[in-house]
Amino acid sequence: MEEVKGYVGNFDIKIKKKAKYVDWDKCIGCGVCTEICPVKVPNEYNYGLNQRRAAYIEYPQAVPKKAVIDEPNCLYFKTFKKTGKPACQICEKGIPAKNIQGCPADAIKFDDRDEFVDIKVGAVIIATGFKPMSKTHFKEYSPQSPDVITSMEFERILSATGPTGGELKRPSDGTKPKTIAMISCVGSRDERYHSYCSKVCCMYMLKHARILKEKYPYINLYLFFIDVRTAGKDFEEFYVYTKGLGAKIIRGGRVSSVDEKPNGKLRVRGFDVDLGSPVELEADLVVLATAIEPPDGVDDIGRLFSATCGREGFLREVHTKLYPVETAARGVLIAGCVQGPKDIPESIAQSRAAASSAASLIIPGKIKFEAIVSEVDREKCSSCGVCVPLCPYSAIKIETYKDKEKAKIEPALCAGCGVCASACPSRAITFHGFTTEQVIEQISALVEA
Amino acid sequence: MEESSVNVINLNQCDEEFIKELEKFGAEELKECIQCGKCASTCPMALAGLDFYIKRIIHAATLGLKDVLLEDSSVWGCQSCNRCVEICPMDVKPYEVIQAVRRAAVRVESCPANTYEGLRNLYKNGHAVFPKGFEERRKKVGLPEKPPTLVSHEELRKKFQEVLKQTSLADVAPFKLD
Amino acid sequence: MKQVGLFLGCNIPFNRPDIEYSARYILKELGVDAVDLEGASCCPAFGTMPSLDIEGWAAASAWNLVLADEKGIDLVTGCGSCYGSLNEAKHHMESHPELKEKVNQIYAKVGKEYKGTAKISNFINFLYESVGLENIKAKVKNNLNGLKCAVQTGCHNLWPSRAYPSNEDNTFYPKRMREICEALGGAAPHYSAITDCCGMGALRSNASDKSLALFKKKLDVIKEELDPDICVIGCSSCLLQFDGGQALLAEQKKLNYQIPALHLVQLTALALGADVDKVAAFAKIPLNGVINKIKGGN
Repeated sequence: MEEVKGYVGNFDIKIKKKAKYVDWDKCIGCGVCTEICPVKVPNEYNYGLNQRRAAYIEYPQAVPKKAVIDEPNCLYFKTFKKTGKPACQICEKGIPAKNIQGCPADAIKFDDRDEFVDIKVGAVIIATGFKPMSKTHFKEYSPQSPDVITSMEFERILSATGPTGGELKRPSDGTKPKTIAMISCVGSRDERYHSYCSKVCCMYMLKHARILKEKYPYINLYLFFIDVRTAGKDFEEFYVYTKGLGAKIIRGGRVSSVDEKPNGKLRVRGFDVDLGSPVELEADLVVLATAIEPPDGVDDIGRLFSATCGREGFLREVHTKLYPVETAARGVLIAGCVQGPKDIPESIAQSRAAASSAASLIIPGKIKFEAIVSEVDREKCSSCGVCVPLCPYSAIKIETYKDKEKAKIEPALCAGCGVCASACPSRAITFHGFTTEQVIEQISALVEA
Repeated sequence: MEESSVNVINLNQCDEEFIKELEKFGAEELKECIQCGKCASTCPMALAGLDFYIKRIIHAATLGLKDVLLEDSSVWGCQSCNRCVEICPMDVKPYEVIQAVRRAAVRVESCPANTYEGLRNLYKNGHAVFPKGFEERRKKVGLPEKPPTLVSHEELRKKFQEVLKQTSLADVAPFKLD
Repeated sequence: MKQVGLFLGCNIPFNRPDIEYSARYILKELGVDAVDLEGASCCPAFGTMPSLDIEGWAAASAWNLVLADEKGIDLVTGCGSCYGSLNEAKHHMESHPELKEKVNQIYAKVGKEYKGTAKISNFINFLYESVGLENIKAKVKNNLNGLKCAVQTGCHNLWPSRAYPSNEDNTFYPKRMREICEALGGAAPHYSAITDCCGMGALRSNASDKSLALFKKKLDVIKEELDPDICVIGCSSCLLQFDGGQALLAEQKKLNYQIPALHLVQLTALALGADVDKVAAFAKIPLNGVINKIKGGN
């Protein structure tokens, strides 16, 4: 998203489509380039647990299933920048000497450029998701150990399309762990990072426990919780069922330390409120349920649309109960974790609500506005421009009026906050519904009463 | 026969003034605690098996259980290691809560006798730890019999005592500051 | 010549003057002028003034900081409690100007002023940063010859990090002492209980058996995971536990092994050529194995 102009019903949006260096009209997603490319870099999709090539398809289920070339890592571009000469091009031409074929669809396009697309829309739904916290913040949990991983990394290890092809292996030596400790509230409920509860961790820890116990019943599994928060339909039942599979639940004690032993095992120290005692455990693998964080750049997106972020950095809804998918910018709606931590059912419910709200806004073809907006008396306006940067909704512009530069408020963008009216040194702005006369009348009435 | 008692704590004995007193003595963030238990899983008092350790002390403090806390001497076993302060996710500074309970306890003379011994040594000699026979030990390694601290400087020691007289030691010490 | 004020505290000059001897020895060998802090007091210990109120604590600590201010020097100490108490008191005064003002009202009556210019270091950070590993290496006369060291930094030397002018990159995975031991020619692997409390301190004074049990647990981990030639300790209080406490456990027949223990400055002094009879004059656990190894035996 490069640029946003306009307002509800009439957004003009400029979108940047990054150069992919593969012609997607030709690419058939066969994956030949992703196998013959000689450059290996950490695979972001698997959180660096394995490697991908510089020519790659983001993940096996990617839609559309098309390849891209990662320019900063590609040998062709690296050499070209240094020497001005082309190099490698194996993805395109293969290695004829070894009888290896290049792209069969002739789709490699080294001269590809960024593209800009302009679209016109009536409403926008922001649903950019979340980012899981990295383990590096948590120095007390031995982040230097490869066998201390985040739940997201563990999710990838458990996945059939993950770095181990679904085989349970610990990152350090590829052995199958016999004892696994899972730690909740890592970075959540923590003033140093995020004071909120990430809401989904208790349940996904139980989900991981269930998958593990069903597949590998002999694995010792210890789940360390502060509280077990399983509010939601069928959630408590899921918890009780997982306990029944033999997952051990330790409650009331956030883990204080994970320490490496010379034999490669990890010592985990927690507290068990039910035993009323500190407890410790030797584990082969430690999984940290790290907090859900706002995604990178959410504040930039918010600024583009004049939607505001809350204290924790998530996009803020207008009203928690009454307007849960609306932002301060009309026609800009939010869904999913960009608004705050939530699970899949809740995200789906919210995105359907956002879609319905968008539809009900634009389908009638006309939009009603609140009468409580500000208006500039252009005869009085001195063109000082004070109001323009003050407006939180970018609703004020300087326009030519009778050959002079004057302020104009776009009523579709104005949210009726009144900041401009109180700041205008020429008293040229009227805040409808709250004019000076009206306010004085109200005060008089109150005094009389 | 020893009088037996039941294992029930009466919550009605909550003393709000005591909570305020602790806050005044440095436990400013006391009420921020969410009882996550992180401190208790590493606190030497808990690991060593003292009856009251950091998590319980903080909880008892937030409940205003003055008598429960002051009748127990566990707080005096705190190592001041500050690991709790380092890891507390809510920045409660648990160690400051322990110190606050000590500060309240010492004002009602509910502290172990060795507390006074340390204070007396500090006031008299300038050193809280002041074991006998140090002169011989120092001689053995070729050091002067007395270190160049307050034990060697009478005039400065008097000044140091003047400083201590201006502090709460004057109110708390069960010995004369002369 | 580099100068530093040697803050002795209580345990070092009175209980273990062999540490004081070693500290003076290594500073001289490393070309650092050790300035005596005439008239220094107790830091004060955590069970004394800090347990009365913050103001009294700050006033008592300030005594030593004022002496350093007057000489225009920074301090170094071999005792973790002193390092903690002095730095925390300074931190309290820095973050609460009104506290500093109250302390100065007291000091005005004895004709002194607390300015807060002196920094307080410990020997770990002093050797690691102010002297530097290369300079230490250059002065080694008796290479430790691969001596296997289990290091103990000591809680107060690590936490609360907010009060400290310098610290480990990860206080839960300390490396500085390990690197110093390696610079002296030793080997110092990490072990899981490296930051566990040794049990010395108020716990030892008020619940001796529990304190020793906690210490034994740590020592057992050290024996099992590293089976070292020596324990190297960054704090004089911890050393009292590792040496004296270990001797007590042995006396009570609760240990079937013994591991010699020295303060970091004692081990450094040995490597820099000091006489073992002075460096470890009051060590209760015999050091014969350590000395043999340094001399090239096994």
